[in-house]
Amino acid sequence: MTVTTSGSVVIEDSIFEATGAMQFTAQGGAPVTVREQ
Amino acid sequence: MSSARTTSLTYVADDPSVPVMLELAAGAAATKVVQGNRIGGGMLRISGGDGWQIGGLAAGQGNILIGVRAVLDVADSSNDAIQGQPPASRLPRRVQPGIQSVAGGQLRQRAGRAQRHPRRLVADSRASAVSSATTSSSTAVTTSGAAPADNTQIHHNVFAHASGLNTGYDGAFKFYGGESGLSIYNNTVDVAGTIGGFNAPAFNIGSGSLFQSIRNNLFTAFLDVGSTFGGAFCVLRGCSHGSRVTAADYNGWFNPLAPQSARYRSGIVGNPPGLHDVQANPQLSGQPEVPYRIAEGCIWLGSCTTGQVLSHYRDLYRPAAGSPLVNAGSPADGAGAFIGAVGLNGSHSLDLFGRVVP
Repeated sequence: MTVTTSGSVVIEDSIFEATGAMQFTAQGGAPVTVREQ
Repeated sequence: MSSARTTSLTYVADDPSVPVMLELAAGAAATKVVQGNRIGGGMLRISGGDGWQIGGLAAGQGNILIGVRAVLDVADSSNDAIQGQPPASRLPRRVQPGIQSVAGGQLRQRAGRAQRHPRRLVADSRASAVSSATTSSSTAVTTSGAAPADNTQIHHNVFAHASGLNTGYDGAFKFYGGESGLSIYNNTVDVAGTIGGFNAPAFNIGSGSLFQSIRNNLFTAFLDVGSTFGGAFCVLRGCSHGSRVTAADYNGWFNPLAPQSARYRSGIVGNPPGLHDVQANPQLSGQPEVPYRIAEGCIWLGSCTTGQVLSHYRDLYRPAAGSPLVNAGSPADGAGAFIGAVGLNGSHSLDLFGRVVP
């Protein structure tokens, strides 16, 4: 999954089950929020 | 934002740097918030950028790291706030969770389990309960590697050994990253006597590490320190002489199973050490709990809060009325300063352990 955006990044209320390792890299100055996974 | 994933996690017993379950990287993002997440195995690695808000002091904001090698690993980052993480899991021998590394940040109100080989150290660690499960070379806090934070303060933590007997201990605190200006104060370190079999120093200090102050800490239930370490609770690693600590005083020691061990190895402290140390039964209010008795399921479901766990540990390690730890801390820390992580009744402004997070 690759997302390119100049806006805010919010990852919220998701379930990652049996996915293996996840990596998220944010570039730019917009806020990043990772909440309630 | 980009992401990538693999299809499985691989645990390696003797490699505490893996596996990373979730890695979050951000550089210049205006705000970086990681709250209320639950990770059921592997490490949470946060890298790059400064000022991450990891967890929080409000209900539900803490992240839950539970399961095998549940570790929070913060790298290449500074001025982070780490708050309100509830305890991690029980763990099998040789694979243990806990704070892996935090550079230049704050660790507040964390109740967790052991750390193994963290590569950087918290810059301001306060009000935490870390229950140390055992592995070979078990160490509660270790620093080494690149860019350890100078002027780190570790204070108001309970480090409690909460699993069984093991061997190959290197020290409760082990420093070998060339840090300077470290201050370690108001921590309670309980290594569980014959249950833990902890026969290593409290402080194992590398030749390049320099301490400003070791004060107001309680060290209890150690076994005699082996001759390999020079038979003292504060020793130098890899060399036998040289001052590495400016001042060490007002600490409490109660180690009836270690009658042969000295508190400070000769020459390690610049000022005359331990002139005001307390060497007596600390008269704590509770008994150590081995094994760790907080249910993972309760934590995972959010039924048990960080505050409840910390409050429980406060009850265990609070000095009872008449304890020699009361009013025995360094006067430089104010009137009524106490020894250990927990004060008598909360009257001292720094007696906050177990009284902040809901």
